[in-house]
Amino acid sequence: MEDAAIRLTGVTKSFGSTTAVQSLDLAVPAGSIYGLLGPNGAGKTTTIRIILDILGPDEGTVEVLGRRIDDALRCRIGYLPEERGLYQRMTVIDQLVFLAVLKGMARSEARSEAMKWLERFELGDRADSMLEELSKGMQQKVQFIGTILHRPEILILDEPFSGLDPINVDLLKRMVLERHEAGTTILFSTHMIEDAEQLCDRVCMIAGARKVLDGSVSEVRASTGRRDIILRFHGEPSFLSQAGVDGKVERHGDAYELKVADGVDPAELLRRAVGAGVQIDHFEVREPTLREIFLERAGKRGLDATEGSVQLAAGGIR
Amino acid sequence: MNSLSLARIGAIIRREYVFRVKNKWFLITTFGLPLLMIGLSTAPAWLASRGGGKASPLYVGVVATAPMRAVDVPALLHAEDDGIAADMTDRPPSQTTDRLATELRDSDFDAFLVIGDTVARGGSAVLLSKSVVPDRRKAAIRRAVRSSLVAAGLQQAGIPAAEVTTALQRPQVGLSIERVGQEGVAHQDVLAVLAMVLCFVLYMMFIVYGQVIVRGVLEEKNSDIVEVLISSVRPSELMLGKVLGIGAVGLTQIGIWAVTVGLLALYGLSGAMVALSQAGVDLSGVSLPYVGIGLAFLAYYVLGFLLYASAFAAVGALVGDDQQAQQMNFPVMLLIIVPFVLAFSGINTPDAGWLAAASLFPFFSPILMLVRIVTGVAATWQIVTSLILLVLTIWGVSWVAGRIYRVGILMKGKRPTLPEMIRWLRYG
Repeated sequence: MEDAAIRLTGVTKSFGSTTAVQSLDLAVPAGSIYGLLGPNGAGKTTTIRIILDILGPDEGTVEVLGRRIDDALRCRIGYLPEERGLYQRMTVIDQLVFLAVLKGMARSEARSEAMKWLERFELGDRADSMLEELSKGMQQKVQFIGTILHRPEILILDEPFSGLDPINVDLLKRMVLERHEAGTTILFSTHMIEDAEQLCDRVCMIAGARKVLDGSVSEVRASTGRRDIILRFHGEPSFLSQAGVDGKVERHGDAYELKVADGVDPAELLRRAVGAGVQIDHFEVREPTLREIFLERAGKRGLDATEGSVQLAAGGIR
Repeated sequence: MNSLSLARIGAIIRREYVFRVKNKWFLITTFGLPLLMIGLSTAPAWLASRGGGKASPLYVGVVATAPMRAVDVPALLHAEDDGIAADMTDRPPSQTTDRLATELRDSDFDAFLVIGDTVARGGSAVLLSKSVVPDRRKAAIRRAVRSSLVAAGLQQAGIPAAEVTTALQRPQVGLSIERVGQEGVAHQDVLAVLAMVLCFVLYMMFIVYGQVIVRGVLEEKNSDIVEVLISSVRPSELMLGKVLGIGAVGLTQIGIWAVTVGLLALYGLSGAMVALSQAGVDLSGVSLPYVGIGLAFLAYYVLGFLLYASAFAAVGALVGDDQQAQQMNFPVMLLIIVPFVLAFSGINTPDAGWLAAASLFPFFSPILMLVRIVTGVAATWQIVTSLILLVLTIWGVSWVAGRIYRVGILMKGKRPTLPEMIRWLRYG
């Protein structure tokens, strides 16, 4: 990967006795959507802050667009922090212009660009409102506009979807894909692995300050070399033991879900199910999901750490 | 370290400035503070004059020995306190107190002033009164009794009673002190009042805008916008922009006041002049080195602001909430309050050695040196030394504050311990 937009080599960062990031190597190809995955506390935000030069690494080097970060580079990056923040008692338009001017944009250009974006987000009539008068969802939109207003070549989003309602999650995903099509390199961190799976070209998974795996989504999914069979049905599950199928069966209400890792002929299993007369709701042969792979690789430690965030993720989607 | 960006610092200054000048608090303090100051400076004089006139009238019967009776004691009493009306009585002062008390109860008098034989030889006069006599009035009566003794003495020496009484009835004689300095003759009282007003303005500005800075930093920190900002600007740029922007707001306010006072003075409509003359200061015919004082004020405001504001910015970055801010504020506030108190105690002796020494201490010099400059006692070498020390101190304090600020603004939760802060200072 010669044209990495962001490249970390052997980056380590400790706070007192806790190591937040341990010898991390990472390369974000230019123009890609890159997911930084891991449970809360895995070191994602620290990694992002190191890339942005908000924190200095204890060891290792960071290169952005082929060189160490400087003022000129900072203007080519858009950053959406996990903890969103804007001036509460400042008008939307003044705020956006201020942020863009800090990124080196001319005041008049920033103003007209900001108005365009506000119109697109249906906030055109709120340009002169104080931020505190806006709903949470609207504030999120303003913050996102503030991140992309200066037309950054690299977009770094820390947990962009957390705390958003489903409509805004969709909107934000559309915007991310649109920026991607416009050639922007996008790095985002998330503990919601499904989001990454849906959007990313490449992912890097970290747990407990270390990288667990790294690669394109299809590579990672193919890396196990196995395909899982998922069968959901209503009816009596006893045909499974008669057929000698060794898999995980979970009960969901009055339905069952069977997950078989490998070594079973899908056609044979399907035939058996039909023969047993159960009502088949869903049948799928697929590579393991990122979540499954992550849980396997991160092991017990990752699992423990993930539990809370998996629930959080589920809560976020509903 | 590459150089700071003026464009970004400019954007931050602009935001701080515009945001705060548009704020209603700016209007309130700009116009409220002078009113408050005029109120505070004139209230005592006004209350005193009002209090004197309003104190309930006292009808005094004078009980005196024969030589005293030749003096117009009632007129002297009235001259000292126009709330007192008095008449001579023909009761002998040798009567017992009990007897006089009984007579007082039955009479129209509110009080008897008994000036016995012994008074001329150092004894006390006695005031028997039906009601409580305020201190101010007591002092007036004491003065009247002394005048009466003098009058009685002079009369015995053959000077006509009427002349003596007229001379003694004259209200207080003013004493105007013109100090001759190198720049010419200046009115000492006017300079002292001017020094205190300017020093009060400095004090208020440092304290009030220091708090504005603490709150501003805290707000950015707690609203998490600081992380967005830090991805665009350097912490030093953010801190500098904030300090300069807020300092400019204060300067604007001072400018508005200066222009207002100037206009009022020019058109002779000055409420402040009236207030000052009521407070016993006569400004007519006084010429002041306005330009020199103005420049000194400006210099010490700007330098003092840079000094305290950087310290306050560090305080804001160190703390997590308003309550912690209150505690951490205190040491910095003390550096402003102490010179202010010293200025007050030193204003009557501005050339005292201890004041000269204190005014060279960089944390005190903005307020104390200004007082000494305005009152005309600061030597040029002292002014230059204080400015050099001040600039060096600003450099040092802003370096330390910048380090603390840079780490502190991204810290959440607990206030850092001292060892942690020392580590911040060493960090990159």
